[in-house]
Amino acid sequence: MTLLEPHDLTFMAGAPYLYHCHHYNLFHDQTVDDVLGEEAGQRVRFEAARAAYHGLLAPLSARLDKRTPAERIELAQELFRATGHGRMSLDITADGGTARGEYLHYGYTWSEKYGDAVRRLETADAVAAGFAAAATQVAFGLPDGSIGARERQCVARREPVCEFALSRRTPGPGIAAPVTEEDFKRHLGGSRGGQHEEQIGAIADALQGFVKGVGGDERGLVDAFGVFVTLHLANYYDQTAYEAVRHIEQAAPSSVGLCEALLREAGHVCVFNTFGGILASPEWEAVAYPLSGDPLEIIKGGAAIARGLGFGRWSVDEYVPGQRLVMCASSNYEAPFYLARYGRSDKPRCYFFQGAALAIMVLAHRVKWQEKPRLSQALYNELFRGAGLGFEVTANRCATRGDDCTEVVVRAT
Amino acid sequence: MTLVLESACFHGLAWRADLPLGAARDAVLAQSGGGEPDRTLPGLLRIIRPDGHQVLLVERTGRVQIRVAYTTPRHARRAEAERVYAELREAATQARAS
Repeated sequence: MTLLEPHDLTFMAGAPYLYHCHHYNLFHDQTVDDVLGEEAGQRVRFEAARAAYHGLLAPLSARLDKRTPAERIELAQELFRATGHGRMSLDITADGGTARGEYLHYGYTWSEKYGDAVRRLETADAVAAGFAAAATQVAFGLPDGSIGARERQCVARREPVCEFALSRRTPGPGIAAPVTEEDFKRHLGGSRGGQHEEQIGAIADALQGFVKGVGGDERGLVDAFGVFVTLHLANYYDQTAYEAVRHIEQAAPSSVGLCEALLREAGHVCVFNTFGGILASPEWEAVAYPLSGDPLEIIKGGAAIARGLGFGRWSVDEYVPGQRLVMCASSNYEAPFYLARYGRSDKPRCYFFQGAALAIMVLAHRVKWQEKPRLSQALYNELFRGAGLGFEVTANRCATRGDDCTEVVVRAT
Repeated sequence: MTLVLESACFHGLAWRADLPLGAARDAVLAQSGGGEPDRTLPGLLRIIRPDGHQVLLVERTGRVQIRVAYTTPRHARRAEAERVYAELREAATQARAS
C-alpha cells in the first residue's frame, strides 16, 4: 500500500483505492441503477467491479509471489475480508463454480438500513459478484471478462445467505484496462494547500495513520469512527459513474442534468453520513477537537477527512462564514480516471467533489453541532431535500477539462 | 447521569454515557476484563469487552461512548447499552469509594 503523499491518494499494488461508508456505497449503486435501469445497472456495476478487482488481484498476487490457484484464492478471500467487504468463500475451478458470502457489505448493510421498511426484489452484491469473478480469473490465469457471475441468493432479498454461480464465458470486445497508479501520476498536476494548511494537514496525517491500521473483523466488516467503511477501488466508483453519464448523454441528452445532480447528491450523502459521523465521533474528538458549533471547524474538518480517506488533496482557498466557500482539489480520485479513460472533457466532471463541497457548507452552517444532533435520515431530508439547501455550487475549474486543479465555489442562495 | 443515543452508521449502536467526573477513566478501564485497552489513537482509550461491546473514553474531554456490537439485534441494542451503562456506573461508584 502506498500513499502518494503530496496528493493524499492511496494505492494498493498500483490500484487506486479510498474509503467510503455503506450509506454512500448504497446510494452510488442506486444512482447507477436509476440512470441505467436495474438490469443494465447491475451489469455495469458487475463488470466495473470485476475489472477493478482483476486490476488489483493480478498484480498483488504477482508481487506477493502467489503462484498457485489455491494461494491466489486464499489471498483474494483474505483481502476481501480485510477491506471491510465481508466474508467470501470461493469453491471454484477454471470453469467457474460457486461463491458464498456472509456479512457482505452491500447486502448486509442494505438489510440493516432498509430491510425493515422495504421489500427488495433485486440482489445487492454486484461488487461481491465482480470480486468473485475476478478472483477466479486471476487464480487460473484467465483474462478479464472470462468469468460471469450471478447472485442467486441474497440476504437483501431476505434469503438466508448470499450465493453466487460463476461460469466461464468468452470475453467480450472492448474491455478497458483499469486505471492505475501510473495513469494517475501522468494526469496529476502540482500539489498545493490552502488556508489553515498546517492544522488540516496535521489532522489528515493522523487520520491516514489511523485508517491504515484498521481492518476487517472476523466477519469482514470495518468499524472505524463508528462508521462502517470499505476500502474500495476508485476504478469501481469512477467507471460506474462515468459510464452512467455517458450512456445518458447518448440515449437521453435531456436527462443529463438529472443524472449529474444524482452524482452530486452522492457527495451530499457521503459528507452527511461519513464526514458527519466522523466529526461526531470520539475518535475525532481525540485526534482533532470537540465541536463547539463554529462552522470553520466543519470546513477545516471536511478538507482533513477527505484527505484522510484518500479522496485527494482538498483544501480551503477562501471562506466567508455563511456566504462563500471556495474549495480546491489539486488532486482527487475522479479527474485522473476520467482523463486516462476518456481524455479531456469539454465541461466539469468532478461531480462527487462538487456535491461534497456543497454538503460541507451545509453541515457547517445548518447543523447545530453543539446540540449533538443525530445524523438521521430525517435530518438528511430536512437539510438536503427540503425547501432549499441554502447554498449552491459552481465548478470554476476542473482538471477533467484540462485546468490545473478542480475548484468549486459554494455560495449562499 | 444519563445515557443518550448518538450518531452511528447503524441505528442504536452508539450511546453517550455520562459518568461522574474523576471516575470515568477507572470505570472504563474496569470493562476490559483484564485485557489491555486499545490506544491506537493518541488520547483515546478503547475497550473491547468480552461480550463484544466497546467502551471509548476521550481522555482530554472525559467523553464516554458505549458502542453496542453491531451483531446485536436492533430491538435489543438499547437494553444492551443500558446493561453496559449500569456496569460502568457501578464501577465508577467503586472507583470513587476506593
